[in-house]
Amino acid sequence: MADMLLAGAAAASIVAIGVLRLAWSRPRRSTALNNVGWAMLLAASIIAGVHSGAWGISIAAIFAMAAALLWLAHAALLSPSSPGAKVSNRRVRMLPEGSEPLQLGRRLVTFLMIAVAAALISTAVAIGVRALVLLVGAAEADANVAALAAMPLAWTVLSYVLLMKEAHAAQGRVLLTWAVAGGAACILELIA
Amino acid sequence: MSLAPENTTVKRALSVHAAIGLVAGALLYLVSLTGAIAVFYQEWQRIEQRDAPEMSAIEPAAVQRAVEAVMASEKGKPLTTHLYVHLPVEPLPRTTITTDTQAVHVDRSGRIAGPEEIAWSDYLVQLHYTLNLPAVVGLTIVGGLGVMMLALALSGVVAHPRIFRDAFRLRARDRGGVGLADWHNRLSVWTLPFTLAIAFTGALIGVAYVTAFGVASTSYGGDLEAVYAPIFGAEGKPDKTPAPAPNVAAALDYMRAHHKDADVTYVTLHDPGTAGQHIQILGEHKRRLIFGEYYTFDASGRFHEIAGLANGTLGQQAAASNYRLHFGNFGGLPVKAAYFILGLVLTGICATGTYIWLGKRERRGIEEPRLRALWDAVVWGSPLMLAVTFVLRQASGNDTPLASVFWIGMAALLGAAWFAAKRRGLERALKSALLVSLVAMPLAIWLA
Repeated sequence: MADMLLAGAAAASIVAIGVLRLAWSRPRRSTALNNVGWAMLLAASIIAGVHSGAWGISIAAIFAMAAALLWLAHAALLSPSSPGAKVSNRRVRMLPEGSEPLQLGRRLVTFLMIAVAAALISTAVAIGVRALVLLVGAAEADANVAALAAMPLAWTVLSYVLLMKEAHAAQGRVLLTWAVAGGAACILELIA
Repeated sequence: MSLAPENTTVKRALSVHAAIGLVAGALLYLVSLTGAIAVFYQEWQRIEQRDAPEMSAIEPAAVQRAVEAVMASEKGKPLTTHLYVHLPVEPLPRTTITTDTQAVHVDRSGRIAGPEEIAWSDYLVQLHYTLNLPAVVGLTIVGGLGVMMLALALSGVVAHPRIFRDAFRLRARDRGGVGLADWHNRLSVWTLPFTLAIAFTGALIGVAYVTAFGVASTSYGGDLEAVYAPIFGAEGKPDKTPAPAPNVAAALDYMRAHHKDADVTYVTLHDPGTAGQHIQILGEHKRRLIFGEYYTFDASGRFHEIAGLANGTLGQQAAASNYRLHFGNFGGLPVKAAYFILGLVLTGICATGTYIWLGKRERRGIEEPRLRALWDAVVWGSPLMLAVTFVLRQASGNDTPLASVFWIGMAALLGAAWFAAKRRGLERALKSALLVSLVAMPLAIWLA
C-alpha cells in the first residue's frame, strides 16, 4: 500500500508534465489545463512527502524532470532543419567593442565586491540569522544549521542585487546597508 | 496585471547572467563535469582496483581482527586520530580500513589483503570539490562557485520573460543561434529543481568552513568543533593514556540485535588506542535523505547514545540530508543514473552559455577566434584530460601524479588554443582525441 502511494506520486509527476505539454500545444495556451498540470505537480509532491518526506519529494521531482526531458527530446527530433525565427543579438556589455575602453579597474572592483566583500558580509548576516533563530526559542542545532544555510543564500541574493545596480556608488550603498545589518548582528552575538 | 518583469529588469538580468557565466564559466563547467562522473565514485573504485577482495557482509569478529591488525601495523608510529572501517555496501562490496596514514583492504576473515589503490577515483573527487587546491581554500572556492550557480539560476529566470510561452519549444536543428539558445534555456528551466538542489547543497558544504569560522568566533570562543557538536554529536574527551583496541565486535553485535532496520556502513574509532577512545557506528536508514544515524559506544562496545540525525531536530535532519541530496546516492543505481544524466545536462548548459555569447558577438561582426578556441579547449579538453589521466593510471600505476598531469595538460591545451586559434580544425582535433581516449579507457582496463 505504501509503495502504491509513491508509485502514484511518480505517475502524477509524469502525467502533470504531459498535461502542461498538452496545454502548451494548444493554439492559445489553455489556462485551465495549465492550472491542472501545476496542481498535479503540487499534489505529486504532497503525496510523495506524505509517503517518505524529503526523500519521496526528491524521487517525484526526478520523475517530473525525466518526463520533461523526454518531451524536449521529442521536440528536438521533430524540429525543422531550415532556419526559422530571428535570433537575438542583444549585447550584454561584457567585453568592449570597437574603441571602447576595457575598464579593467572597474571590473576588478566589481569582482572583489562580489567574491570577497559580499561573502564576508553574508557570513555576518548568517551570524545574525543564528541569533534570531535562538531568540525565537529554537534549539542550538537548528540555529547553527540556519546559519550554515543562510550564508550561501545571503551571498546569492546580495551578489544578484549588487550586479543589478549599474553604478559603483549604488553598489556601495547596498553593501554598506547589508554590512551595517551584519555587523550589528555580530556585535549583538558577541555581547549576548 | 502581468507578473513578467519590466524590460529594463530583463535586460539588466541578462547582463548579470552573462557576467557571472562568463567569469565563472570554465570552473563551473569543470565542477559540473567532474560532479557528474563522480556520482559513480564507488563504481569507479571497483573498476580501478579490480583485485580487492569482495564480500556482501563481514562478521563482527572479523572486523575486530582487522581493526587490531591495522592498529598493530602502526605500532611505533604516531597514533592515528581516527580509524574508519568502510563496511561492504551493494555498490562497493568491500571492507576497507583507513587511518591518518594508510588505507588497506581486508578479506572476509579480517586479514589485511593489501593497500587500497584508488588514486584516480580520489583525484576525480578532489578535483570536483577542491580543484586540487589545499582543502579549505579549494572547498571555499568551489562553494563560491555553487553560490554563483544559484545566482545564475536566479538571473536566468528573471532574464527569461517567455519562460512559459517557450516551455517546450526546442528548435534543435537551427544553426543560426536559435537552436543553441533553445537548448540552453529549455534544459535550464526543466532541470531547475536539480540545479537548485545541487548548487545550494554544494555551496553550503563548500562555504561551511567560512560560516562555521564566523559562528565559532562570535559564539564559541573560536572553537570550530563546538559549532558542529550540537548537530552531529561531540568528539569525546581526549585521554592519551595507552589502551588496547576497542571492542568493535560488541558494538556491531548490538546493532544487529537492536537496530536490524539500520544498514551499518561505517565504524569510526575516535582516538583509537587511547583511554579517551570511543566507537561510532553509522547506520543508514532506508528511504531517507539523511546519510545515516550515528550510534555511539564506549570502548567496551556498550551503547551510549544516538546523535539524533534521524529523528532529532529539524536542523539536524536537514544538515544530515545535505550530502546524499548532493551526491545522488539516496536511491541506488536508478537515482545515480538520473543524477549522471542531469549532471551532464548541467555541464551542457555551462558549455552552451559561452557559445551563445560568442555567437552573438560574431553575428554583430566581432570575430573572437582566440576566445572561441580557448572555450573549445575547456569544453573538449576537460573530458579529454580526465580520460587521459584514467588511461595513464591503468598503464603506469597508482603513484602517477594525476592532478599534475591534468592541470599541465589543460594548460598545454589552452596554450595551443591561444597560439593556434586562427588555424581551423582545433575543435575537430580535440573531439577526435576525446573519442580516441574514450575508446582507450576500456582497452586500458582490459590490458592492465
